[in-house]
Amino acid sequence: MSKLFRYILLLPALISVLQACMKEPDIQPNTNKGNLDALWQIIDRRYCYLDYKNINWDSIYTEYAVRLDTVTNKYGLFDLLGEMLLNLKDGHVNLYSEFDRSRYWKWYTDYPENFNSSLIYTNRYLGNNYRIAGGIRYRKIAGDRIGYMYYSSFSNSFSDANIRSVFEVFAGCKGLIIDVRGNGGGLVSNAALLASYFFDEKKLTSYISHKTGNGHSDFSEPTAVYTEPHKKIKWERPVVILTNRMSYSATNEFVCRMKYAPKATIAGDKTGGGGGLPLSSELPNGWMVRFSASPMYDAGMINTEWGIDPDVKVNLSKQDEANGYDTIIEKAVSLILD
Amino acid sequence: MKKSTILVIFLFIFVLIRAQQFTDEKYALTTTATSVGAGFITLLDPYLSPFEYKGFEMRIENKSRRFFNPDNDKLSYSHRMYLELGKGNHPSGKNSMLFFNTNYMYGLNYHMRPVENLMILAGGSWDIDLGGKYLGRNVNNPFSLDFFSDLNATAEIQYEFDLKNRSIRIQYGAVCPVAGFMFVPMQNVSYYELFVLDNTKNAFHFSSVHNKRAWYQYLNLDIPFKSNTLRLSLQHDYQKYSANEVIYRKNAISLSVGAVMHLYTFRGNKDRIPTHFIHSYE
Repeated sequence: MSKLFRYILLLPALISVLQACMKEPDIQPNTNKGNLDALWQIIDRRYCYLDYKNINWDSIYTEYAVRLDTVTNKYGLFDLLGEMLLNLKDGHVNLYSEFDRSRYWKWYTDYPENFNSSLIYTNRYLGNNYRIAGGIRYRKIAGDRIGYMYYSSFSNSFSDANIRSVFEVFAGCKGLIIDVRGNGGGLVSNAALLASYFFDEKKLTSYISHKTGNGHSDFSEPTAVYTEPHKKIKWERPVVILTNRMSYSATNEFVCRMKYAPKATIAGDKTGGGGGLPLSSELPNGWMVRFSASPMYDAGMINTEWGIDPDVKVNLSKQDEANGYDTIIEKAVSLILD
Repeated sequence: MKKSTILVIFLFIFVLIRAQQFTDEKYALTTTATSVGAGFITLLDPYLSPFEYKGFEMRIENKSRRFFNPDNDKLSYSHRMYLELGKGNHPSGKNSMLFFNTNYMYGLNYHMRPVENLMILAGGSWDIDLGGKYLGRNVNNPFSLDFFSDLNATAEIQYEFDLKNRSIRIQYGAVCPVAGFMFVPMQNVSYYELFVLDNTKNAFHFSSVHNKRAWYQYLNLDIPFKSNTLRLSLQHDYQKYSANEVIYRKNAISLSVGAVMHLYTFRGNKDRIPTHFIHSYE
């Protein structure tokens, strides 16, 4: 009995000894150097495109560590760290502080806009009397022969009832246009749902993987992503997806799926990309960093980070724009009617 | 006299008669304690942040214990349920993390009484735990799921002593997981890939002392009053576990206040009320 009693008393002490064997990683101090080191290390270990983009992250550390001496306040530090992240050329990489958010926008600012939002609200297209179902604005155009949907953000949800209503209105139309120009993304689940209405069978449409170690090329086996047809609602006529460089992130994923839809055509400009699913982490001073962690690929294992080419490349003509025409919508109409 | 009044009187007489139908059989009472407390918590969840979040927690807990057989005062079973809610802050004070946790445990205990007033319980338990942490500023991964189940070694020491004409009971107990499973995804995998695409590879792990060291300790002081027993409880809940080269940690200390009761469970209307009772403190 006394032996058992002794063992019971020794149990917590034994566990205390075992605790020491599970060593936690060191945490950088909340200094300028500590914050730079923490940010550099997060990207070094967890960012998924360092090798794909041929970025020499070690030399970038050297370059920016030297410049720490010039930093005199939190704004200077933020600007320096934000500038360091610009080297990643990734719209999914941001540094968040209580006073600012760093961002990389060249994935669309360096390219033609190919979208004029005021054009789509002219009477030729949506006009003033369009309907709104969930996050989707819609109206029949081209003499009621084409259904036109404008979807500005995959963060705006929609339901099956919304889509059923839209398809009912477009029941007599010869085809459908889904305009996702300027759509910077949102929920990937919305992208999968919207695509599901245009598939008649389950199809492999993309892959995703994730970092499995600290090495720049330590990735998991890619997981196949399938698009399954919606069980009750289906659009069986032609559909044209309109894209531009601002079609990013979840929109990129939607376009990637629609590339494999049986009666879909992608028209407009190349999408902006954003193929890396982002995650977040934190710095010692409380700033948050968002970064691409899980690369996505199309069904042919082509990385979608730099965007997806359209089936039909169309640019918005200045001449048409001046005359109140949206060249890309007009092309989509002709693709359906011709 | 109204019909309804007659009915009420009839029912009252019926209940009185029923109450007097005693049986000589011994009956095992359920000793139950419900307590509410608050304390301090530290959380380390590298899926959300590499930094330790410190803050406070509130905890509500119910424990019950009952002998299987009222004629055998050596073997009892117990239940424990608790809910924790908490909030922790980043060391910089700029961010906060919300936390919740629920746990259910079923245990078996062998009672030993080496000397008078001292009781030692030893046994094992199974528990299942579900919780989560929410760091709202993390745009794409604000939530981290906690899920595990363990087989545990349990022990408890109870000592009863008199102080100012009160019979006070002091209890110290510990629960240590021995083997089980836990949900620990890879640090860079998204919940989209885990739960929408069903890729849970490397997310569920066998756990034992090689990768999980934890204990739940408590020190209870039961002080009887006229019709109630007050429980003061100091609890320490510590977990440190590792998988996929990531270490998670939770450390919570809370002080609770509650009431202890020995309950008789009515079962239908055929049971007769016994005259002899035994509760798990005996």
